[in-house]
Amino acid sequence: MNYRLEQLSMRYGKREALKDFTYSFGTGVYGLIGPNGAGKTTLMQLMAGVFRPATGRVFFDGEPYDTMSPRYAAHIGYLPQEIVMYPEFTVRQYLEYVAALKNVKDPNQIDHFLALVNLSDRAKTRCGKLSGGMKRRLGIAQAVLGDPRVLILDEPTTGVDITERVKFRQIISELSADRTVIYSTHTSEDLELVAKEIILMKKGAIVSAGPGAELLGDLVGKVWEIRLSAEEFRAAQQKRSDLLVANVALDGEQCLTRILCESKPFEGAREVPATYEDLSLYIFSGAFPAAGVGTVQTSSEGCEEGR
Amino acid sequence: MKLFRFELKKLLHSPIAILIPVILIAAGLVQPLLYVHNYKAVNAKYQNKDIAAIIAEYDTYTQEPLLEDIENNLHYNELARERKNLQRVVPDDLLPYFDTPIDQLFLYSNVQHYRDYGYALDKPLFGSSENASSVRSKQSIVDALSALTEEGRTDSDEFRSLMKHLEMMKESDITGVRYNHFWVKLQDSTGTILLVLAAAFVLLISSVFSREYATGMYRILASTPLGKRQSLVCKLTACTLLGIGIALLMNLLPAAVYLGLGSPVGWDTLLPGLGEGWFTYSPYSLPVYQYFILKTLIDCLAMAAVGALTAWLSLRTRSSLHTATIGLLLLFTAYGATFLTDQESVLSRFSLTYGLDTRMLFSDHVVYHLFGITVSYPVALTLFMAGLFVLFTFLAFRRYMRGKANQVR
Repeated sequence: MNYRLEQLSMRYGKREALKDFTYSFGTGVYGLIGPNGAGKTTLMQLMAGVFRPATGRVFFDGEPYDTMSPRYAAHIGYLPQEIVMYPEFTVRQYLEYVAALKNVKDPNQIDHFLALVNLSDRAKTRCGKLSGGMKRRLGIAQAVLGDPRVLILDEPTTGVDITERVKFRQIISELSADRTVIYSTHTSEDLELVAKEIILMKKGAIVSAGPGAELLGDLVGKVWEIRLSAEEFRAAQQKRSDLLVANVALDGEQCLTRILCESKPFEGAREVPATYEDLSLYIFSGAFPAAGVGTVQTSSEGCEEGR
Repeated sequence: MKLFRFELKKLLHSPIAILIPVILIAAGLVQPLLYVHNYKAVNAKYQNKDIAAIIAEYDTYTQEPLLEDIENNLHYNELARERKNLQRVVPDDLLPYFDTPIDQLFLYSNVQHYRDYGYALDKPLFGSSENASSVRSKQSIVDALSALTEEGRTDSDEFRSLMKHLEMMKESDITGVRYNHFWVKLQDSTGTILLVLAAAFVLLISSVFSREYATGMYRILASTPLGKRQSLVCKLTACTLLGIGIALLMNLLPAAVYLGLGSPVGWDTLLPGLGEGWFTYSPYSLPVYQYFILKTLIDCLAMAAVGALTAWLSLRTRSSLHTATIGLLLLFTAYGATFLTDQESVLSRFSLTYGLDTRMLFSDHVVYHLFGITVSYPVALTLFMAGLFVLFTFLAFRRYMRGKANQVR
């Protein structure tokens, strides 16, 4: 199965939210990572057919589709970023409603997907009474109703605790066996174990993309850990402007510092394996920007952009 | 069908949904039942007394309220005099309708004397005809026609309008009496109640589209095969059917009580012969049962128009509060226009307010002249309501199906 996006663009007024996005997807999980305002949600809404792109085309196995047509929508399952449901509906009623919207005739699908997301015992509970994690799982169930070829999940684990996130990963893994799952997240750990390929986006364009292992391979020899005291660290920063601090963890009177640097930054620093978080920081910070005196660049600075 | 049921369920989950049946039951069922019950109770009470004895007990009387009127004082002498007139006016073949004393008392109030005055309101939309409204007698209309003939203006809109008015007055002249008490009560029972129901209806459906945007559910709807066109059709159909259902119930419930438990006698009374305020000077020689059918249909059309307008507002504003506010303002436009201008204007006459109170349509002789065609006010307003319904349904369709990005963010 091949799902291809070609030259997708979108503009909000003068701002270009998505620029000539082109990518091919096969079976498996594809992670979408990027800072706020990168265009992830816009891309996902375009793929879901929520609105029409300014330019671009979409193909299934080489055949072009109009993203606004019911024929295209039959192949898509979409989970938006916000939790959306009607509080007065029960879980079963909500899925029956979505099944009606998707023209799903088989009544067994609802029970099947309720079991998949472990909500069978909550079928008669009103949606308004569900916990956040349960609502997210219900969201997955409605997205996968109708057995779509492509699942589009926009930050599905936002606000969800670790137990629920683990359950989520298991469900996604199971679903990705025979369909395309496109999954955007700010939490890179969600993708580490399940993603086949990662797409990093910034300012509406792809910055880097490919199998996770290959992308992480670019960071071999660039991720280091060292224990320093606060004074030692500040002194080192003043001398070295090419340091990018990924994390600082206080350990007694010393700081366990994780640094991105082209070469070994200090004597005593040890190389450690790169993670997707390191990758994100490396890509989105512009790679080793100059640090101000007395300031510490963390993984969150330099990545905030307005929507 | 399933999708339609869910859309209806979403509309009816609001607390306002309870208010509508409460009003319907109170105004459409309970009030008429109480009235009919009281009417029959009083009727039974006086069954065995003759008319003179009953009249002797009373001073004056009107139709409302029933018990107070009958049990309060009446001027005997005055009634005795009028009773003599009554005996003179009632044709013998109609007397069997009035075999109970109470029937005879109500008979008096419904006597329609020979009518030689009419109320003409002639407002041409185009052309140079005069734009004044005035109370005219038949003789004054004849005088005006003579003057126009002398001026060689027999082909003018004004001449044609006056001729039409004369014909209508002639048709609606009535001598004698019609017993139609419960038809009088029936035509009086909807009116402002339907306006109140329409206001509740606007509040009920104001979230039909805005809720989808407010909750973000629109994103899921838009991404499903039936979430655009079919969902839209189901929503609009639900709004329309709810509106029509309310109008039907508000007309048929009291009809069932007044005419079923009361009496349907007088179903062929012409409108002016109802003998009460609204239609005393009506130029429309419609049997009252036809008026009731027309009234019901126009009420249904007006409520459908209210539904389409409110749905479009909900889609356009994406806010239940804004939708409800604007919808209610539009609903009561006529009152505002009359308050500001102190007279009825095109703005008030072509408003949802008047569309929901058909007494306004048939009580006066109002015609409009459009490109040489004379159209009576009831026809003009019916076409206007139909036009509103079609227009706002189309606008809602177009906006919802466009799916622009700036409508979603």
